[in-house]
Amino acid sequence: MTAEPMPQAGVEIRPLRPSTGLSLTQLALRRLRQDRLTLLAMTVLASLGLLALLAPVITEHVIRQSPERVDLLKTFSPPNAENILGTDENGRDQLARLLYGARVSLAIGFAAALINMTIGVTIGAVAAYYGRTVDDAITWFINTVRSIPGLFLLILVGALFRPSVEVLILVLGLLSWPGIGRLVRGQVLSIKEREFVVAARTVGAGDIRIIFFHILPNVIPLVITYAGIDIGGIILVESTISYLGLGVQPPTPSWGNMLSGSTRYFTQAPWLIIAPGALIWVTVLCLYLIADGLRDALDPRLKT
Amino acid sequence: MTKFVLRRLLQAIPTLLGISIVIFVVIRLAPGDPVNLFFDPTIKGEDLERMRRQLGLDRPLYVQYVDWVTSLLRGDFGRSFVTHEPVLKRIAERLPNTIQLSLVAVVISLLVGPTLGILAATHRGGPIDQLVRVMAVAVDAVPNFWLGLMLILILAVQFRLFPSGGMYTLRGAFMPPLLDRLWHLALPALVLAAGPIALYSRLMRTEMLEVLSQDYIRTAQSKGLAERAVLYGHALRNAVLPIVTVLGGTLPFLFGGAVVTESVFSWPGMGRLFVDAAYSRDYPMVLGISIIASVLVVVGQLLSDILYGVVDPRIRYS
Repeated sequence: MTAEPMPQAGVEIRPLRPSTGLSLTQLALRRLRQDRLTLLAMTVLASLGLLALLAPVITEHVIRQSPERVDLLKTFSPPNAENILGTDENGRDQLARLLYGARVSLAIGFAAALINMTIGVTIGAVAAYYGRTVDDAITWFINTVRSIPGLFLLILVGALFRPSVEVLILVLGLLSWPGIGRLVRGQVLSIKEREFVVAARTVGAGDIRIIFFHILPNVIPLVITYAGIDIGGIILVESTISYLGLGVQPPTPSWGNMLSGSTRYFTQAPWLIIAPGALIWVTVLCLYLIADGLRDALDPRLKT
Repeated sequence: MTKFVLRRLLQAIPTLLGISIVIFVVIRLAPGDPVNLFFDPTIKGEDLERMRRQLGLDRPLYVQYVDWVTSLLRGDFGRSFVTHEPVLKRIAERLPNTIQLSLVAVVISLLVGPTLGILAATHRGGPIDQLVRVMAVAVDAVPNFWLGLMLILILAVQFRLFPSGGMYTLRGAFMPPLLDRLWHLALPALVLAAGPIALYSRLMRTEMLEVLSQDYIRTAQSKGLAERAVLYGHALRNAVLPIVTVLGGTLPFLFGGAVVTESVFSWPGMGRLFVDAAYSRDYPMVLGISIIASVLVVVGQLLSDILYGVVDPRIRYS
């Protein structure tokens, strides 16, 4: 049964769109269920997340290898029954290190994205809502930061601080918000002129209330769509600076820093180059595909 | 037109100021005293105080900032900790190599990207379209340095088709210098071009589809023009405009990409110099390159804005 509004005496109420009795979220979920590619990407990503979460259990009980045990008699051994993905230059098991590396790389991606989203959404909304000087100042700042090639700033910070994982999350989060900030600003600029915002102001709602309860809920689809691209981008950047030796510091494994000795691997151990990079690629690809799928599900008009 | 260029030039000044402030702040936020950071890390006590006075570190921060910016404007970027050469001289030696690599990458991406976009748009929904779109997402998601490593592994180490790095063959080159250079350029330029190729192909596809649905295209088709003439004579001209706008935006990407690509392929450019300097904590060098790269990005954006004003006169008046 659909939830048609009850006809009242003398007033005929017609719904604006043919009612299916489903909320917008339910409609989005229904579209998502038919999108096989997105579902596949979600499954792969969820499995990777699960493997990362269970890394200690798996390394101890399933593959029985430690990510830290150095064995100099077994360096660069190719994939075999004992070391499924071979060993690195210190004889450490690659699969175990990849599993622990997944924890680091994924944690950095998600945590830094949470920080930059929070900052970006708040600052973007404030800039667009208050306009004038506030907007000018924030826009100037956003354009400035975007003019400095991102990697340069990160390498600069990496060289100065030699960051721990926590500091790296903070730095990545603090440096990467201008992208989402600019998007949210644009969106809020158009939302704040709409009738329901004017109506809220007319009945006496304050700025904070209008921003958080009336404007921001309308930005959520944009934020959800952007999240996948954002997290993926951060994972790529983290892997790059870790590869250059200025991100996550050994012995903590991350997918990026496992590749930093690559010059020595080419002839001796190509499997050490293939595996970590392929994992980064698959992870980021899944995130981008999910972002694409969510955009189509949340706003089918945008579909190309 | 002159007015438009002047206005754009003036707009660049606050951005440049902002960049210098951001970099100054980042450096001053770093743990430890700048004396230890920039000079001898073992200096202590009285000597430290004297050093601080000599360098003007006892004065207010804004005075120090103004001093720093004036010396930058005079072209004084300090000397490298490692080689003790002037920073600017080292950068001037390396920059041409980076520009060479970036230019080749830009040319490749401008040739390949839009072509793929047009192919996809004219075969909308077909296998070519699908292939181009899948490739674009795959390229977006691949870590650039790993793409380089894989190309080296497959094409240089396994099949020995290309050199694994460097700018020229040291001894016994069997090709004339120009060809030898291009041979060394091929892989790094391809890696650097990968991102822009994906971007341009996607942009070109969207824009081409948009333009192809417009009335003047139908007019051209209905007066019996050949499909080729409609595509290249009418549609392409308008569809290519957005590429010009993003050209400036790809510059930060190119410089960032050059850092990675040059490191992977041991290409002796500014990006490699930057990573090496960051490694050895050569702060004046790191600072100098950050500033120069940012200024080049701002100049590039300026040029692409002006170029856009030239090709699309409507922009100048808005």
